[in-house]
Amino acid sequence: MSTLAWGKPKIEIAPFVAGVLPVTPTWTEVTNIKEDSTKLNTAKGAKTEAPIEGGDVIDIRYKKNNYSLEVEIWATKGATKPIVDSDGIVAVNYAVRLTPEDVTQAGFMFPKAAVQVEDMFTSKDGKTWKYTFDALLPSTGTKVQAYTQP
Amino acid sequence: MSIQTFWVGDKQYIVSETTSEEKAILKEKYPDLHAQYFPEVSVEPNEVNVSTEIKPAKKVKATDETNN
Repeated sequence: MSTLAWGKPKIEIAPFVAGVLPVTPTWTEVTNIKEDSTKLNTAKGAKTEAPIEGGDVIDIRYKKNNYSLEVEIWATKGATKPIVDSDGIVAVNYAVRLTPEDVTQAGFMFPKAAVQVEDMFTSKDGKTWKYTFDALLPSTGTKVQAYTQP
Repeated sequence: MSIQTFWVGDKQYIVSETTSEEKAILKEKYPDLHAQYFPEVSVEPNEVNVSTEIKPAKKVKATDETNN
Protein backbone atom coordinates (compact mmCIF):
# COMPACT_ATOMS: atom_id res chain seq x y z
CA MET A 1 0.00 0.00 0.00
CA SER A 2 1.22 3.43 -0.85
CA THR A 3 0.30 6.82 0.47
CA LEU A 4 0.03 8.35 -3.01
CA ALA A 5 -1.99 7.27 -6.02
CA TRP A 6 1.05 7.38 -8.28
CA GLY A 7 2.83 4.82 -10.41
CA LYS A 8 1.63 2.69 -13.30
CA PRO A 9 -2.10 3.24 -13.76
CA LYS A 10 -4.55 0.76 -15.17
CA ILE A 11 -6.77 2.41 -17.77
CA GLU A 12 -9.92 0.75 -19.01
CA ILE A 13 -12.33 1.93 -21.68
CA ALA A 14 -15.87 0.88 -22.55
CA PRO A 15 -17.89 2.02 -25.56
CA PHE A 16 -21.40 3.38 -25.36
CA VAL A 17 -24.01 1.25 -27.07
CA ALA A 18 -27.01 2.98 -28.62
CA GLY A 19 -26.03 6.17 -26.86
CA VAL A 20 -25.77 4.79 -23.32
CA LEU A 21 -23.24 3.00 -21.16
CA PRO A 22 -24.54 -0.57 -20.86
CA VAL A 23 -25.40 -1.88 -17.39
CA THR A 24 -22.58 -4.39 -17.82
CA PRO A 25 -20.07 -2.50 -19.96
CA THR A 26 -17.41 -4.26 -22.01
CA TRP A 27 -14.21 -2.95 -20.47
CA THR A 28 -10.95 -3.20 -22.39
CA GLU A 29 -7.63 -2.47 -20.73
CA VAL A 30 -5.39 -0.07 -22.61
CA THR A 31 -1.93 -1.59 -22.91
CA ASN A 32 1.54 -0.41 -23.98
CA ILE A 33 1.04 3.01 -22.43
CA LYS A 34 4.05 5.25 -22.88
CA GLU A 35 5.70 6.01 -19.56
CA ASP A 36 4.54 9.21 -17.83
CA SER A 37 2.10 10.01 -20.64
CA THR A 38 -1.09 9.57 -18.60
CA LYS A 39 -2.42 12.96 -17.52
CA LEU A 40 -5.65 14.20 -16.03
CA ASN A 41 -6.03 17.82 -17.06
CA THR A 42 -8.41 20.29 -15.47
CA ALA A 43 -9.53 23.38 -17.35
CA LYS A 44 -10.60 25.80 -14.69
CA GLY A 45 -14.07 27.24 -15.04
CA ALA A 46 -14.22 30.86 -16.10
CA LYS A 47 -14.21 33.42 -13.30
CA THR A 48 -16.51 36.42 -13.34
CA GLU A 49 -15.79 39.20 -10.89
CA ALA A 50 -18.00 42.01 -9.67
CA PRO A 51 -15.59 44.91 -9.20
CA ILE A 52 -16.48 48.14 -7.48
CA GLU A 53 -14.97 51.58 -7.82
CA GLY A 54 -11.51 51.57 -6.26
CA GLY A 55 -10.52 48.13 -7.43
CA ASP A 56 -12.12 45.90 -4.80
CA VAL A 57 -14.23 42.90 -5.74
CA ILE A 58 -17.51 42.29 -3.91
CA ASP A 59 -18.33 38.94 -5.43
CA ILE A 60 -16.89 36.24 -7.68
CA ARG A 61 -18.75 33.62 -9.67
CA TYR A 62 -17.09 30.53 -11.15
CA LYS A 63 -18.21 28.32 -13.96
CA LYS A 64 -17.64 24.58 -13.66
CA ASN A 65 -14.31 22.97 -14.47
CA ASN A 66 -13.84 20.73 -17.48
CA TYR A 67 -11.64 17.67 -17.58
CA SER A 68 -9.65 15.63 -20.04
CA LEU A 69 -7.55 12.50 -19.75
CA GLU A 70 -4.59 12.09 -22.05
CA VAL A 71 -2.79 8.86 -22.70
CA GLU A 72 -0.19 7.98 -25.31
CA ILE A 73 0.25 4.44 -26.57
CA TRP A 74 3.19 2.86 -28.35
CA ALA A 75 2.11 1.82 -31.83
CA THR A 76 4.03 -1.42 -31.85
CA LYS A 77 4.41 -3.58 -34.94
CA GLY A 78 1.15 -5.28 -35.80
CA ALA A 79 -0.78 -3.49 -33.06
CA THR A 80 -4.23 -2.11 -33.72
CA LYS A 81 -5.74 0.99 -32.22
CA PRO A 82 -7.82 0.32 -29.11
CA ILE A 83 -10.42 2.77 -30.41
CA VAL A 84 -11.21 3.05 -34.09
CA ASP A 85 -11.18 6.58 -35.50
CA SER A 86 -11.54 8.37 -38.78
CA ASP A 87 -8.96 11.15 -39.02
CA GLY A 88 -9.06 11.41 -35.26
CA ILE A 89 -12.84 11.43 -34.94
CA VAL A 90 -14.46 8.70 -32.88
CA ALA A 91 -18.12 8.11 -33.62
CA VAL A 92 -19.25 6.89 -30.22
CA ASN A 93 -18.77 8.06 -26.67
CA TYR A 94 -16.71 6.03 -24.24
CA ALA A 95 -16.49 5.59 -20.50
CA VAL A 96 -12.95 5.56 -19.17
CA ARG A 97 -11.71 4.64 -15.73
CA LEU A 98 -8.31 4.70 -14.07
CA THR A 99 -7.06 2.55 -11.23
CA PRO A 100 -3.83 3.62 -9.53
CA GLU A 101 -0.96 1.16 -9.18
CA ASP A 102 -2.00 0.71 -5.55
CA VAL A 103 -5.50 -0.61 -6.14
CA THR A 104 -6.56 0.30 -2.62
CA GLN A 105 -6.30 3.96 -3.66
CA ALA A 106 -9.35 5.54 -5.23
CA GLY A 107 -9.02 6.18 -8.93
CA PHE A 108 -11.40 8.11 -11.08
CA MET A 109 -13.82 7.58 -13.91
CA PHE A 110 -15.37 9.63 -16.68
CA PRO A 111 -18.76 7.90 -17.06
CA LYS A 112 -19.14 9.64 -20.42
CA ALA A 113 -16.42 11.03 -22.65
CA ALA A 114 -15.82 12.19 -26.19
CA VAL A 115 -12.62 10.76 -27.65
CA GLN A 116 -10.08 12.23 -30.03
CA VAL A 117 -7.14 10.36 -31.53
CA GLU A 118 -3.84 11.78 -32.79
CA ASP A 119 -1.37 9.80 -34.87
CA MET A 120 2.09 10.87 -33.80
CA PHE A 121 5.63 10.14 -34.94
CA THR A 122 9.10 11.25 -33.92
CA SER A 123 12.43 9.73 -34.91
CA LYS A 124 13.15 9.36 -31.19
CA ASP A 125 10.01 7.45 -30.29
CA GLY A 126 8.66 6.11 -33.54
CA LYS A 127 4.92 5.92 -33.93
CA THR A 128 2.52 6.53 -31.08
CA TRP A 129 -1.22 7.12 -30.72
CA LYS A 130 -2.39 9.83 -28.42
CA TYR A 131 -5.89 9.50 -27.00
CA THR A 132 -7.68 12.41 -25.40
CA PHE A 133 -10.86 11.72 -23.45
CA ASP A 134 -12.91 14.87 -22.84
CA ALA A 135 -15.33 14.35 -19.97
CA LEU A 136 -18.99 14.97 -20.78
CA LEU A 137 -21.85 15.41 -18.34
CA PRO A 138 -23.25 11.91 -17.64
CA SER A 139 -26.87 11.09 -16.87
CA THR A 140 -26.12 10.92 -13.12
CA GLY A 141 -23.49 12.76 -11.13
CA THR A 142 -20.50 14.84 -12.06
CA LYS A 143 -18.14 14.61 -15.03
CA VAL A 144 -15.38 13.01 -12.96
CA GLN A 145 -16.38 10.45 -10.36
CA ALA A 146 -14.38 8.44 -7.87
CA TYR A 147 -13.72 4.86 -8.94
CA THR A 148 -12.53 1.93 -6.86
CA GLN A 149 -11.63 -1.45 -8.29
CA PRO A 150 -13.61 -4.16 -6.48
CA MET B 1 -25.92 21.10 -6.79
CA SER B 2 -24.63 17.97 -8.52
CA ILE B 3 -25.52 14.54 -7.21
CA GLN B 4 -22.62 13.00 -5.30
CA THR B 5 -21.74 9.59 -6.70
CA PHE B 6 -18.92 7.07 -6.79
CA TRP B 7 -18.23 3.75 -8.46
CA VAL B 8 -17.10 0.40 -7.18
CA GLY B 9 -16.54 -1.73 -10.24
CA ASP B 10 -19.58 -1.43 -12.49
CA LYS B 11 -21.89 -0.30 -9.70
CA GLN B 12 -22.57 3.38 -9.29
CA TYR B 13 -23.52 4.51 -5.80
CA ILE B 14 -25.55 7.66 -5.35
CA VAL B 15 -24.55 8.85 -1.91
CA SER B 16 -28.00 10.13 -0.92
CA GLU B 17 -29.69 6.91 -2.03
CA THR B 18 -27.28 4.35 -0.57
CA THR B 19 -29.09 1.94 1.73
CA SER B 20 -27.90 0.99 5.20
CA GLU B 21 -27.15 -2.54 3.97
CA GLU B 22 -24.96 -1.16 1.19
CA LYS B 23 -23.25 1.17 3.64
CA ALA B 24 -22.49 -1.77 5.95
CA ILE B 25 -20.91 -3.72 3.08
CA LEU B 26 -18.89 -0.69 1.97
CA LYS B 27 -17.72 -0.10 5.53
CA GLU B 28 -16.49 -3.67 5.79
CA LYS B 29 -14.84 -3.93 2.36
CA TYR B 30 -13.80 -0.34 1.65
CA PRO B 31 -13.41 1.47 4.99
CA ASP B 32 -11.63 4.48 3.46
CA LEU B 33 -14.34 4.92 0.85
CA HIS B 34 -17.03 4.58 3.48
CA ALA B 35 -15.33 7.12 5.72
CA GLN B 36 -15.10 9.57 2.83
CA TYR B 37 -18.72 9.42 1.71
CA PHE B 38 -20.50 8.41 4.90
CA PRO B 39 -18.59 10.07 7.73
CA GLU B 40 -19.81 8.99 11.11
CA VAL B 41 -20.71 12.02 13.15
CA SER B 42 -19.62 11.62 16.74
CA VAL B 43 -22.41 12.65 19.05
CA GLU B 44 -21.25 14.70 22.00
CA PRO B 45 -23.56 14.44 25.02
CA ASN B 46 -25.52 17.63 25.52
CA GLU B 47 -24.40 19.81 28.34
CA VAL B 48 -26.94 19.68 31.15
CA ASN B 49 -27.38 22.97 32.90
CA VAL B 50 -28.16 22.30 36.51
CA SER B 51 -28.87 25.39 38.45
CA THR B 52 -27.50 25.42 41.98
CA GLU B 53 -29.41 28.54 42.90
CA ILE B 54 -31.74 27.96 45.81
CA LYS B 55 -34.98 29.77 45.36
CA PRO B 56 -37.11 30.66 48.39
CA ALA B 57 -40.25 28.64 48.74
CA LYS B 58 -43.46 30.31 47.61
CA LYS B 59 -45.49 31.73 50.40
CA VAL B 60 -48.91 30.13 50.62
CA LYS B 61 -51.63 31.92 52.44
CA ALA B 62 -53.47 29.56 54.72
CA THR B 63 -57.22 29.98 54.72
CA ASP B 64 -59.72 28.36 56.94
CA GLU B 65 -62.68 27.28 54.89
CA THR B 66 -64.78 26.57 57.93
CA ASN B 67 -64.85 30.27 58.78
CA ASN B 68 -66.62 31.29 55.54
